Amino acid sequence: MRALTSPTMPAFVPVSLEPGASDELILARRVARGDGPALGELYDRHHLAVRAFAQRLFGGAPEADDLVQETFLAAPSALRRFEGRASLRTFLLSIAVNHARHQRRSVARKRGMLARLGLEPSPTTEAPDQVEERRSLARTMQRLLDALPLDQRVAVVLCVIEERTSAEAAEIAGVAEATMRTRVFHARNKLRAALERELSRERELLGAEP
Amino acid sequence: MTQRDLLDEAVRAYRAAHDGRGADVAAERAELLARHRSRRGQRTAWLAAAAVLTLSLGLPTAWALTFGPLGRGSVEPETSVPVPVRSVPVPETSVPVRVPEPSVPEPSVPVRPVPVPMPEISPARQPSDPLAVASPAPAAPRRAIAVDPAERRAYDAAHALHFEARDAAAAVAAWDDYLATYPRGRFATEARYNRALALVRLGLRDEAVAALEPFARGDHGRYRRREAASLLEALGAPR
Repeated sequence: MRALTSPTMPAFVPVSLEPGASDELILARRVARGDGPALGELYDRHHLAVRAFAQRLFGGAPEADDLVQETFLAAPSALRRFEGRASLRTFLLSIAVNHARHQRRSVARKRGMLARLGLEPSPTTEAPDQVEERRSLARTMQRLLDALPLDQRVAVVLCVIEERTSAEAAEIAGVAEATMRTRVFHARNKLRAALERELSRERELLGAEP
Repeated sequence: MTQRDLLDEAVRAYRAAHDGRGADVAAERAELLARHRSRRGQRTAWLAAAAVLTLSLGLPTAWALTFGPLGRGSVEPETSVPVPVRSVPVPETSVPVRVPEPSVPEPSVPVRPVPVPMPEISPARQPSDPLAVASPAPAAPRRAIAVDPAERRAYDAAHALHFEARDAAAAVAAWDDYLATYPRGRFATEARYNRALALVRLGLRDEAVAALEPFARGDHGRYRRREAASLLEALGAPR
């Protein structure tokens, strides 16, 4: 039987699998055949990781939920190319990265509009000072990430926020590891510079108060 | 605090704020499987149509080649070049059919009318950018109907609760208010469908089924008919 890792593997999905095929590969094959329960199982196993990535990429906007849906909807077709060399989760995140490109512009415009209208989401419950400070920092981080190009933003989410290795992040994003490291390097510098500007602005405002 | 410390703290805060939780997992899962079934059904229909087209184009050509234009005996082709039989290529992968929104728990593109005072744009239109508010109005509206500003405010308020605040309980109440005040309003159909989605999100199955059935039956024409049917199937509603 042709090796499942062959680069010339046809789009046809074989019904049988070689003995010892991993549980993930078996699930992937079932999903690729359009098996609904298998898709549900795939969702059960990986929705949290995919949604966390989507939320971090879009700052928790509703588009994050859309990205989760689009990722799992695309999985049956995409998993025909899955050969089991990477984990299913990594593969799903790479699908999410590809789909994120379509939604990125929409999210940025929406957030800009909400900010102009003064409709930034506010905490729904009263929180202690420390919790509010953390939320304020999180919102700051969201603004800074919004200013990054998508490729750098993906790099920051994967390597800095989710603390994945550059090798894994590169596999998810479909780029060379050196490219991923370069993106993280430049993104970090931009984030630090932007944070410094925020700090300076705050100091000026505090200094200007009577 | 140093610059590095602040960045690290901001990262930690951001990571904790977005940990993948907070979604209605059951509703999202049901929506996913419903859309998956819908896509498979559309693909099957596409393949069937392609097969019919192939047969309808291929058979007459083969007949003419064999029996000639009047069906009397074989006819030698004038040239040695074989007459190509048109065939429709069947894709190996599924046709990327975009399932129309909205769906449970929230539509990919909220069902929201473009707020152009005059002329009015049908709210059933689904802009690719959900924030068509800030975009120039598309050309050639179907109808030029003025909307009562109070009605527009009522609809927008319910819409904001549903799609921005994502407060399903408040959204149901707001949709109810809108429909009580404007039962035949400009956006009544959309309001009824959005209300149905909010009921699904709240887990009020029987009420959601009752709200979705008119759409699945076609009482509102083709508007959301397929999505409503898919949602009813996902909810286990009898046919």
